[in-house]
Amino acid sequence: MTLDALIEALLFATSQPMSARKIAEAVSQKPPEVEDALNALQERLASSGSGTRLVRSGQTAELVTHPDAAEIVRAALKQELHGELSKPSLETLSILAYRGPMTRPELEQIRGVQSSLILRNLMLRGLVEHKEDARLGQPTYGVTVAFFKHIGLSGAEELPDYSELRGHSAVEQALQELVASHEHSA
Amino acid sequence: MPYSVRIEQFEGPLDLLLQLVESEKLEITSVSLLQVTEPFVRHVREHHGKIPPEELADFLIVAARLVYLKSKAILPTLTDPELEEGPDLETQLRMYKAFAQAAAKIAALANAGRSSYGRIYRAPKREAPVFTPPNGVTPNLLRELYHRAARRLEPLIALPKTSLEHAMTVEEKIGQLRDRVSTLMHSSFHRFLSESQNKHEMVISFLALLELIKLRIVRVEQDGHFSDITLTLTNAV
Repeated sequence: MTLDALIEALLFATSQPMSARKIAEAVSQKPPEVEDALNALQERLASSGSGTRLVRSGQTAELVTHPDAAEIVRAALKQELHGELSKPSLETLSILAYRGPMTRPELEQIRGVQSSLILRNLMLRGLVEHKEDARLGQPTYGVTVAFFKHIGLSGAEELPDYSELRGHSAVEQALQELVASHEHSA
Repeated sequence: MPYSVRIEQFEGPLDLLLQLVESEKLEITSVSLLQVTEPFVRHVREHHGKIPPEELADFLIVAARLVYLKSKAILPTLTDPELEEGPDLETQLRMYKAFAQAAAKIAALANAGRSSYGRIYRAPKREAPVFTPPNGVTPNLLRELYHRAARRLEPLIALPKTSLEHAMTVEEKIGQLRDRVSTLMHSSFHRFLSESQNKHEMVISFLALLELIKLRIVRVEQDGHFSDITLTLTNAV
């Protein structure tokens, strides 16, 4: 069996988001091989007209239903639509989705307003989580697999105008200046 | 500059600033920021009670930077190193606008209801029956056991077929009875019956006899109830 098929079986059975590190442990392979296999699995499901797809957020992956099946699956699960997200929540999520993972000061630099409460609420809803990498002595935050499931995308790359907003020059400049000013004051 | 548009809802100082600039149909430039300085400061003052205290500082920082920009426009020699630090307000507002627009697209996605669903976790220990076959069970053994069970079924299935084969039809019986009558001239129906293997064959024999009588092939004579029936061939044949 190919590694990507093996990982597919693993994700099906565990039925929850799994980090690349845990997958690597489970299949006794090195992270780069797992990364390649995850790419292959994502590509295979996408190109074969499968009812499932692989959602990835950073290092985490989960096997989920295709958004085209959303209506039927939701009815079968008798699941309510999630409540609407508030404007500040959406704004924070968007910034983290396009530019994350990032630290709280970086997020606040873009939003112009302190955001600890909103981050906490989004974490409670399972849409935002601490990411593994810390920067400038600060924890980083990023969107979760649940966020991508909620909006029906298979990862950040599918976000509208992703590459444009990811590399937005004003963002780059603002974040670099933040790092510079931090190093200056440190 | 007269300012008529009232903005009741805003999320943070940059959102307010952006709404002010856009309500004046201005591009984001340092000049346009100077134009909205006054409305911004006025809004903060008017909404003082409505702005959450923890966000007030952020509004005041933006207000201070706006006032500083305005002061600099009037007195170019004035500079404050602390307020010069970090990205300029214009850059920050442009960046904020880009994400505010992206957030609207994300909102559209979120409200489209095209969500994906993960599997619902059920603990396998509770849900799945545990299959613990005794030692030595192999797929081949299972196949052998199945074959054995299938072989036991074979006689049951074959039985109706053979019984049908052995069952005599009325037609065959008619033939037999007619042969006998035609060779012996007179024959005993009781003796013919006694050669039957079972009740079923007896019934068929009697039906055959009735048929032969009807066809006027045989004539029957019986002395009394339950006595023997003598069969004689008629001249019709």
